Amino acid sequence: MRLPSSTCAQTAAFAIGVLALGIFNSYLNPSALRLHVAYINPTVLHGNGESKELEHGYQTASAEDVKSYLDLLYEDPPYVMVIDARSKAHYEEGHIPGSFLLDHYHQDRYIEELKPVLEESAIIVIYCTGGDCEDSIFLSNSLVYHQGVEKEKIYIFEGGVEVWEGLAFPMKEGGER
Amino acid sequence: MRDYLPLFIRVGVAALLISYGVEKFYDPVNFLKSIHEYDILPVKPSWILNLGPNVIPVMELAAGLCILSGFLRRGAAAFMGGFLVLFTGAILWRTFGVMDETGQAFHQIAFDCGCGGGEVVIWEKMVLNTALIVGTFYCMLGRGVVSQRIEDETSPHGE
Repeated sequence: MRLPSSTCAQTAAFAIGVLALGIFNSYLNPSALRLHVAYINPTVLHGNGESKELEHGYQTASAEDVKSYLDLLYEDPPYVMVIDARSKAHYEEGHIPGSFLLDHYHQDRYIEELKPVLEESAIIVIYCTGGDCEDSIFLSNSLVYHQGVEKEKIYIFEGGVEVWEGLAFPMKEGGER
Repeated sequence: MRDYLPLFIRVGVAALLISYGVEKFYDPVNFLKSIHEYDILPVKPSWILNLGPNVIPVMELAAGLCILSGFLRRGAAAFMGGFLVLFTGAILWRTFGVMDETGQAFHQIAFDCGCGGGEVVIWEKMVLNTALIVGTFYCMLGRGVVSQRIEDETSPHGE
């Protein structure tokens, strides 16, 4: 097979090649992001042909609220469920004791196992890193609009791990809840 | 020393591109968030935004390997050079936005531009990207390492 000789033809060949490889990567690499999944899904108000991004619209929980739930997190059936929306690596570095890992960007790995707990829990608290992190909101939107979880059950712990660690509240390392 | 300069440039450009590609390939989530921060690509349909973290790391890796090996070298360098011009323009656009928002001077601005390496000082990134753009266009216009070696070895003495 002869390679294209002109720079334009080589550029086109390179562009088509990397596009194809990128699409293969999306579907064949288990740690890659899937093209069709709406990972970034801000809460949006539609009306009169205009779209406007909203404040997240969920109830919030403070660090003290979450701390008061710690003793309830291992109950069966669960009344309160705390979800860590960060990656597995971050979860293993340190998470709120009793919280479930549900990495927003790799939900397919965890969601089936967590569905019964999501249905049974009356309060679902979701957190991520804190600060500018929006993954807890994106995950909440995904749970409400794609998994059918009732919006009224969801509370966002906006301070996240940053505030939790800042208050020297207990953290647990490793993959166990 | 002068004879080796083209080789140094080519290896340097390729090494930088490969290192950027590897970092993004192993952390697509962080790169997706960085792209979203630019507020240039639409959130819906989702595949437009998701193409970035899937295609760009592969593109950088492939461009680095092509420039190093000589396979589709000119095309890879031209495409990468064009992409870097666009991406550097986008960084500049976002920098002006941050300057407006924070009132900081240009030389004080630092953020994670999604370029690899986390938060970077923007003026330094601009200098590095300019050098990289010049380097990729040099790789596009210059002869390949292998073809130059063959030409040198086969050319008659004295010519």
